[in-house]
Amino acid sequence: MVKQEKFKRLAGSLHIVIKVFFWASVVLAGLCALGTVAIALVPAGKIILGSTESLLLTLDGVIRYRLDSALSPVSFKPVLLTILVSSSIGFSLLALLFRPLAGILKTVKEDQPFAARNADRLTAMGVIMLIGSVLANTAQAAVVYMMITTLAIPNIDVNFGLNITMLLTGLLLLILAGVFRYGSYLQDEVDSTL
Amino acid sequence: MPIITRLDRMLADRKMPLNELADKVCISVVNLSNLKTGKVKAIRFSTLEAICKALACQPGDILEFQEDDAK
Repeated sequence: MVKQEKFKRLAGSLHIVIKVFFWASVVLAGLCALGTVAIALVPAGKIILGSTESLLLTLDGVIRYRLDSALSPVSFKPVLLTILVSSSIGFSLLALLFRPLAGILKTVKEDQPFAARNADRLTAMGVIMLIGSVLANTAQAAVVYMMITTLAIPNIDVNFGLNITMLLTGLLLLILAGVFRYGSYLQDEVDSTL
Repeated sequence: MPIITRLDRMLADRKMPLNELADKVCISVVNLSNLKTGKVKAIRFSTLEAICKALACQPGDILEFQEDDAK
């Protein structure tokens, strides 16, 4: 029983953390959306990436690419817009993921892990992960493609596919939702047994 | 539901209020009330034993089977 109390306290702490993440995602999604509108209204000529001796880019988070030759001034607006739109979509998906997760943690804290709504929450999270498995790599590829095109970086192309980790996680969450739906039925049977 | 409880009848016969029975069988008044009004889906033998002991009766005095009218 002591372990269960510790477990509930942990769930309570995590619930607060996830709620903070949720609101942070909402705020960041909003800021990115506003930034998109703001950048869209700014003339392209105002957002210039000037000539530089070298520019260090990380195109995929792993490989760093140095542009050693001086660049002629180029408008960075398309790249910024792509980054902001992708980020806005990404943070929105994160917010949609954190909200049901916070709900689940709250029910665990209240000692009702098999509440009826948790199966629906897990289903929602699974669907969001499946959508994210397509959108995540697409957004990243779009940003990289914009950078390559805008900066005219030679001999680099973009390749993208499904995010397998997110795809598998999404499928597992959908299976878990089915397990929790059965658990909810069993809980209901126990609760209505005297 | 075909199985109905006659708990209210037994309580009246024994002149026992519901909360007294709840104390004797260590079940909340809410749950006993649910049993009385037929909102309970199942009852454990241990609970039935405790109620029968408290009311000095047989299970058949509390539970009754009635065929569904729809059938």
